[in-house]
Amino acid sequence: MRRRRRGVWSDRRAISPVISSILLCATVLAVGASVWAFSRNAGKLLREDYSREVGGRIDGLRERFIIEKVIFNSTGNALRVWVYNCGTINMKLTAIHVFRSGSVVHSETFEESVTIPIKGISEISFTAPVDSGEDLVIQAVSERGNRAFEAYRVP
Amino acid sequence: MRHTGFRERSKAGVSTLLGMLICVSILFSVVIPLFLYINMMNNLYNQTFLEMTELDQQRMMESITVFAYPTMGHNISVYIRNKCVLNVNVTRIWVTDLQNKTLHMLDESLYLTPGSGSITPINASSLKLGASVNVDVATERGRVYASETNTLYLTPEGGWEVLPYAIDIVIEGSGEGRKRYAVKAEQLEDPTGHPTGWNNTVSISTIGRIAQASVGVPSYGYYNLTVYREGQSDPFFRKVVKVPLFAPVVITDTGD
Repeated sequence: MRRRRRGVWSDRRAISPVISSILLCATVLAVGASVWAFSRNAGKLLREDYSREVGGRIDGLRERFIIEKVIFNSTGNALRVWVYNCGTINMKLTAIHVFRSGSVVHSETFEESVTIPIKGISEISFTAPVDSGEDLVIQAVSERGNRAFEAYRVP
Repeated sequence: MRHTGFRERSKAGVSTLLGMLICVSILFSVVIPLFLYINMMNNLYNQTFLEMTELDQQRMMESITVFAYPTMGHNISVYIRNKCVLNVNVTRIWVTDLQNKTLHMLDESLYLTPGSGSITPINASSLKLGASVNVDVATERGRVYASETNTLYLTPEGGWEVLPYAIDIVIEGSGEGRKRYAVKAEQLEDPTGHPTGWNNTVSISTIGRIAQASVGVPSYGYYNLTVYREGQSDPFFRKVVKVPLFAPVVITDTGD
């Protein structure tokens, strides 16, 4: 009777379990919310990374280009190369390498990549130290790392 | 004791329930969307891969025949016939002057249905007399076809000819594997004794152990013939050959 009259607040054994229960719930909520927020952010980052990587690979898959024509004019050693984008995505040409007997004899790199739209063709003209009768392999390199080759004999 | 025990079980249940709810919310708001997203990206990748494989297959299947032939004056016509089961879109016709290293690119847009053909006239009045011309045709799928009649020769008299004489080359290879050669024929002088500087280079490759090709030349006389192995700048065969003049044999079909 005495205990009932004084109420629960006077019962120290009753207060501590309530507080501990509240504290436990609060802790679970706080830790849970932190884990949830961390998981969400980590998931978002993972999604973005994966999206960027797979998107890049998909773009690389869609890229197709060829060296459609090569012509060499011995006056001025001018080599003219036409690159055609036959893929389904715009491409950027970053370099053209000229190989002779397996070694690079000339590299033409572009500070600003040459953009070739879908079904577009672009002419690249440069001087190269090649002579008549030589077998060359012309290699075009895109920004996505794809390559196109064309064998050419200098007339 | 029972009373206390009941209270302990109760509070343990609430926090467990909360923890479980948080786990489930993480599962539904993070893990499952991430899984679905990765699955979607994989599907997109596979779909793109299949599309591009199909495009490559179509590119392999594409086949057209190109004939360039002379017409009135300096002009030439290009007959293109679609030999494959796919529609072919011709995008460009390249006319290359081999002597002067000049080029004419004609932007065309010929849509050829399977089995159909088309004739495109080309004004070649800018070409110089004595020019040798190669005609190539490029398609939208990224293939280039050379004319069956390459090389066309613009005679000093102003008429076109499919090079009337030819030097037949047969190379018997040794060993296995496909070998490629480049054969260059240079005219030493024309029939009147004047040096012309004319030359023509063709690429050939072995079928089995034999490589065979015909190098068209503009007239009878002497030619410097040089054969290179692919990738080598030094020739492995060089010889001056004579293309003799033979009276043409006229064959008449009376229709009987």
